[in-house]
Amino acid sequence: MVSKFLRSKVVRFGAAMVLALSVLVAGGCGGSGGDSKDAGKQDQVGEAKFGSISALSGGGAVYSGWFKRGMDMAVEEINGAGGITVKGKKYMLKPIHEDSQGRTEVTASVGQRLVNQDKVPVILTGSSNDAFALMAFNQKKGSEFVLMGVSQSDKFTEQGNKLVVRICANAVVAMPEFVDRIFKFYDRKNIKYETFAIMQVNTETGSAWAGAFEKAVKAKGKKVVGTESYASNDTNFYNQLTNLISKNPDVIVLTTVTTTSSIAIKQARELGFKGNFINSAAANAAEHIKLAGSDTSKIENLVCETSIAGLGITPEVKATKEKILAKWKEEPNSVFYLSYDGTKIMARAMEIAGTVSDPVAIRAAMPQAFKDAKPVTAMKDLDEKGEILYPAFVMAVEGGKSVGYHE
Amino acid sequence: MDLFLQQVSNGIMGGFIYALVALGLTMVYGVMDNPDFAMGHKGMIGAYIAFFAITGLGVGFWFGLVAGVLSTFILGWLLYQVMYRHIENGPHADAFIVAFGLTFVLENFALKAWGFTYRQISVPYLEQSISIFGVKFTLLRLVIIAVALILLMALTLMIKKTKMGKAIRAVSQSKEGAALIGVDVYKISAFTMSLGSALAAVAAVLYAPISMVYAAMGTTLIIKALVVVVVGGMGNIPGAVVGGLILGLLESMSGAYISAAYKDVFTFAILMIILVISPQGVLRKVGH
Repeated sequence: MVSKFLRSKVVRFGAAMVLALSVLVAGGCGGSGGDSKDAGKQDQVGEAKFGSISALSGGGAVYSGWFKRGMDMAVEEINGAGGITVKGKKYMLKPIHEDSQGRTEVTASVGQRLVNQDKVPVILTGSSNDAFALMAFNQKKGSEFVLMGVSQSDKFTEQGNKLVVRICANAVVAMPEFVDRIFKFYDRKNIKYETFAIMQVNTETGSAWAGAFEKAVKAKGKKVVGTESYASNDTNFYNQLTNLISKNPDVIVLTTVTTTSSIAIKQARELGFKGNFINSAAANAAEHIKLAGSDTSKIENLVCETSIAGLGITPEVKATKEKILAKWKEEPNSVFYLSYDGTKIMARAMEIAGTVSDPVAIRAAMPQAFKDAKPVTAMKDLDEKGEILYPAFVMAVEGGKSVGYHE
Repeated sequence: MDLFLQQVSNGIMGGFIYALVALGLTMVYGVMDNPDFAMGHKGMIGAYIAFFAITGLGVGFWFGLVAGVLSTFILGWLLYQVMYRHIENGPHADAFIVAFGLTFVLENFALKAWGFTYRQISVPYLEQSISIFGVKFTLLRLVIIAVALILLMALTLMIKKTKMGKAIRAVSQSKEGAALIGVDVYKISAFTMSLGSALAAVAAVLYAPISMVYAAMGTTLIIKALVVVVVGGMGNIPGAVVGGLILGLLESMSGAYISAAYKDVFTFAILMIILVISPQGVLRKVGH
């Protein structure tokens, strides 16, 4: 009787309607966000739109979630204080968040829509893959936009693109000093660090970061005994880790987000690896501790790359962190501060440039905006190539807690 | 660690994971003559239910597995009654489109309902490593191998020795012929779809402590399962295990000795060669 009921035309029609509606809702709400819930007052005089593209679904979702939150908090603060003033007129910031799903073809597609349909003059991106996909057309006459990218690849600012602005560390530039800091930490803890093995994610950032790391450690007389690569959506690393562990490295280096790295760490331990781990800035020590649960012994002495903001030692960062904890009840991934600062810098650049729609003028105003906005990450000295000064620091897992090292 | 032996065992362990997913898919294909692309996503729903049973209700891992499997069995049955039954005798394209659409709907449902965060199912005693002749295994991966073999034997016995199994064989050989001799074809299809979905849930829940539970895990599972089913012979239950082992070993060896970055390229190239030589797969469809 139940199956007869389920087969009835009414039920079939109802099921079809439910499915169709769920597809519409899923597509409509998938990430093409109009208003951010945290955007603040909506009764603005004018709208200053800007776009963001990041992998809000998939393995990078937690990381991208914090990237989005950074922008949302900055927008909330700016709009809450009355918005920005451009040539005497008030504007409220309106972010339009898009989900790249971790696929560059989607990045390009939503990027085109942001520029052609929404007419945004600035797009912020959370990864190199997204940034490079947009660099193919961000200087196209008539549809230019400023690309503010979280991309550690040195190539981001080396292609002569006049409308890019880096809002994170350049792996090649920051790496030697970062490696020095890691070695100081290892000396302090009496950890052996003669040989390294690298698990390199197959992305532009992964490749750039791994290359810079290898160069930096070799310059200090250490050895890289092997490099294995994997796709960003892989979850079984037994093959790669077996190869690397057979070479007896002291340290395994990971170049991707916390979720994937924590799986790799777990599997490395299963295969008998007893050494230590380093993770690039894509991951976060606090997230690793959360994922490790009650047993953090597997990640003891894990080193994550972080920023001055991630260390949480300046008054500005402490104040911002309190707001974050009050709102979301958890430690942020350091990418939060990058998009937070990026948004504030962009807003200030619009004011200086006297426009909310001219990307060339907004880009020209950015060097001054970097100074005026007083970013909590202390990123500074934007040059004509889009490069900034932004050092990397050590955040380590010790006794189940994340501990930052400033020296 | 002996590198070669470890990589062989990695391939075997990986192969049995794929086989576990492929068992349900090959069964459904054998009866309904359509590959159910949504199989992996149904398994994903089962994994989420297991996760919430374990973490929310505090039941143990095995109870969580049972909860996930039972709920996915019911989901499979419901989906058959509401959708698949009405297109079963129509063009194959209809079933393809429905299954494809279902993957989209189920994945986005999971994203909307449970968010983007990966969920961890931690089973400490299963994650312990043991060493056999210098080769590392985790208990969980050995359990996966054992479960795959037990399910293979159980399914084979069911197909060969039970009335239901006889009916399934009859339907997979000829729906019209089976109907003529009094077999309720729709009932058999419903049962097969439900059982196939439940098997997918077994795979997803056992794989979850390795990969975590996330909305897109269905896609990861189904892509490999489809290859396994094609290589092993569509509708051939032992073929699912053979196909899984072939895929697992090819991946492991090409990753170990050629390049891990391009292991999928070499694996699929070799699989294409296998299919050119033997288009019906390594073993034939059951009943043929």
